Amino acid sequence: MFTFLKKTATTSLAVAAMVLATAPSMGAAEGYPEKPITWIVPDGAGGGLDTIVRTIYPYVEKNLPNDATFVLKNLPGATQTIAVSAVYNAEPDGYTIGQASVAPLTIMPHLGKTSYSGYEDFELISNVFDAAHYIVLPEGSPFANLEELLAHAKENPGKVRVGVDGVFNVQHLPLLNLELSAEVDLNEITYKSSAETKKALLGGEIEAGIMPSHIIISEYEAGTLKPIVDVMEVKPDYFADIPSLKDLGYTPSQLFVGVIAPKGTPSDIQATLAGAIKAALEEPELIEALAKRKIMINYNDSETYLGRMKELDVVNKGILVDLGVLK
Amino acid sequence: MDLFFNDLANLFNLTNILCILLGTVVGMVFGALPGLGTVIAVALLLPVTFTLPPLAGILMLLATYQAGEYGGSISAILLGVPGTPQAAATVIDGHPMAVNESPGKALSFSLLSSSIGGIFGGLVLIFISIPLAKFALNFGSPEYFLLGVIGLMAVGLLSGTDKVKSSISVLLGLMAGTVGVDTLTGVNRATFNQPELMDGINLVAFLVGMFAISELFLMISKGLNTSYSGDGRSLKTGLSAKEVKGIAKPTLIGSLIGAGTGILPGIGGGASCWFAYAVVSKTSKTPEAFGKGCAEGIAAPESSNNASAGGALVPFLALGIPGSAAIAIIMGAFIMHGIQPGPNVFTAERDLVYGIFYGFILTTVAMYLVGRLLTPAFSRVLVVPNSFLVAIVFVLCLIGIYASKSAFFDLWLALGIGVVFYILKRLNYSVSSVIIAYVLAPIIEENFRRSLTLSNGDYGVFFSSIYSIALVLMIVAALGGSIFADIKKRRTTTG
Repeated sequence: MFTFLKKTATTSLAVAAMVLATAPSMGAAEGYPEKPITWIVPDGAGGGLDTIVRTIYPYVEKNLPNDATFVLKNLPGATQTIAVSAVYNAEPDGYTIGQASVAPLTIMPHLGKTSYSGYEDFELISNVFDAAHYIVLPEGSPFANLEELLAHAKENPGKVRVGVDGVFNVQHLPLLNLELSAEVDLNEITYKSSAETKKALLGGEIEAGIMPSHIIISEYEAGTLKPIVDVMEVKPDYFADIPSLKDLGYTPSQLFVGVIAPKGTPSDIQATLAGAIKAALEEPELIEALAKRKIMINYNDSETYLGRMKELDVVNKGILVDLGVLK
Repeated sequence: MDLFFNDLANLFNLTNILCILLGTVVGMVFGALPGLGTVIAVALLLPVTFTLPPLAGILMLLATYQAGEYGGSISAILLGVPGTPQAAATVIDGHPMAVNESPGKALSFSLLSSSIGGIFGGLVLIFISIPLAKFALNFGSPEYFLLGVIGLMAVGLLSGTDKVKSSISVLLGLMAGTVGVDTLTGVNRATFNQPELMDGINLVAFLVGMFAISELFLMISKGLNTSYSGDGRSLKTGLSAKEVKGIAKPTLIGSLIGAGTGILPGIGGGASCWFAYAVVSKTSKTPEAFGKGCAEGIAAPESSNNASAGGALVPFLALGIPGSAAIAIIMGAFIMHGIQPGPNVFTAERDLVYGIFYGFILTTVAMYLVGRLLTPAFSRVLVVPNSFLVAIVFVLCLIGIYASKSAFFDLWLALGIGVVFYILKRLNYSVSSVIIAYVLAPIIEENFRRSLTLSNGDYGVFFSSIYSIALVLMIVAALGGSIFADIKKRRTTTG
């Protein structure tokens, strides 16, 4: 009842804002921001994404006019959908923005687990960084590359065990897609986190696992783990020699994390925010801090960000339909 | 292996010492406040470390982590409310001793055994971390499942005579542990479409509700115009040589069990304290004293949770696998400084790693000293009239629950859980059985199902390594032993 009222109120406000915005389309950003801007972080304090946002936000503040300040609000849980729902329910006045990965925008809505219906319900301000996830083999694996792994899997359906860190998520969907397009049947083993997958791989419980690039650098250098293929589109420079699914002729997935705002946020405020994020990501000090943490900065303007999101949404929806999860 | 630190002066500089002390105080205070706990303390100090040299920053977080383990026991002993999940077993004997005998003494037993456990964990780290980390990898999903089952069997050793009530408690805990999105299929279980329940019942809300809020209701129903302890005499914290000798064996057992379970990522302190308590109570000469305020019952879980802190650093440093939420945050500090924990860290960052090893022992020393200093002040809490205490603790609980996930939903959840457990406590159900089952439910369930997925449904997976066979034999022996004892007891009573 209350959410209904709240939503009606938001919709009417949004409509009003749009009507107003059409006449004097400029002007909303004048004097912006007048008060602190809430930046919703879909991660607990001290978590990976939380520390990234905490590293970035002072530089965005610096590049905004009128002594802008951010208030970070941590809303972890439910594959980021709690935080993204909070952005969805916020006033589209430019005083609430949120950080979001692709899962809550292009996967969770299709699974019917969100109050919003998809990425279309938001203004996509700009993308901030990309991540790469690799199919990783342990030391002494009989396979040298993806082709050998898949060939073996074809002869032994359901026998090759591949660890992923959850179901129907950014690791699981690309793996399922690979199985569909290569016509193989792998035994997907679900772990709770990439740390658990790593332990299982080192302990010889599984034949392969999917893991984010930045947590296997030390093992790669020591030779205890061997990444063979990037399942995402963007490659980090430290693994530049390793092919991606795209290089091998398969459909890659994408994992990118950007800033979103409630639908109907005035367009000039969006532009101000995007400009500040772009300028921040060009600051040498921030570039150095993020490089140290192996974060791949990848600024996309609103249009490119939206385009990538659309493309990925079609791919992810297609996989879920092919699997029969989605009708 | 070169055991000597290249330059000990690197460790004993003012910045490092001050950072360790700051971390210790913050960890102890946050650990002692119900609901706040170690994870929040470490997360709070994380941004401070970015501006510090790597060693100082990391030692500060480790000091916080270590002191938080002891801090959690302070409120467990004084109020019967564990500040951290790892201190839940300490309530059983710590609280009765504080109320009936002396809060000062109970805290001293806890501090001494915690410190010994901490040093033990540090020594394990220094001498055998690399071989131990490799050994821990032998424990896969089938072994984790069997360990979980052994942990659950500890319930039988703990709870009183009423088997029906303790079975109901275990069932309640197991049910609570299954709430949330099923990890293996993605299906929502008992979430009632609440996104806040998708990751399961928030551990902080559960813990605070069942221990703190229900305890507050009990205090109110007993009358507010009293205080736990009237006279100042019982606040004395000194221990006699005989008393110290009495906890030598449980402390050693607890340290061994703590370090052993600590090296297994994902099991950690929350379960190790129960293992230690069960083993010590079973092997003690006076098993009837447990649960009524026995020093051995404090020493066992206390030494084990601090030893597991050192143990948890083993897979983290050697393999880059963080075993708990607090360690995952500490890993953030490493990454911020561009250091990748893993096989190469021992050679690439040699000075830093050995600095951490020896610094970890220092954090234990700091914990002991700060603890000695603060213990008398802490134990005065029980002199405060309940009318004040209830209000203060309640506000702290609310802050702690909200701080963990900023969800109002969790506050209502904790209140509901508090009411349920108030009733259960009045009906003499075992709260500790519920919490053990809750902690172990996901370990048992996920690893059981994962093992069968790994083997394509073949139950032989549970007998496929010498470790799993050894664990199965332990379960059979424990079951056989208790059935045998039961039959013998029945014969003597009837005949």
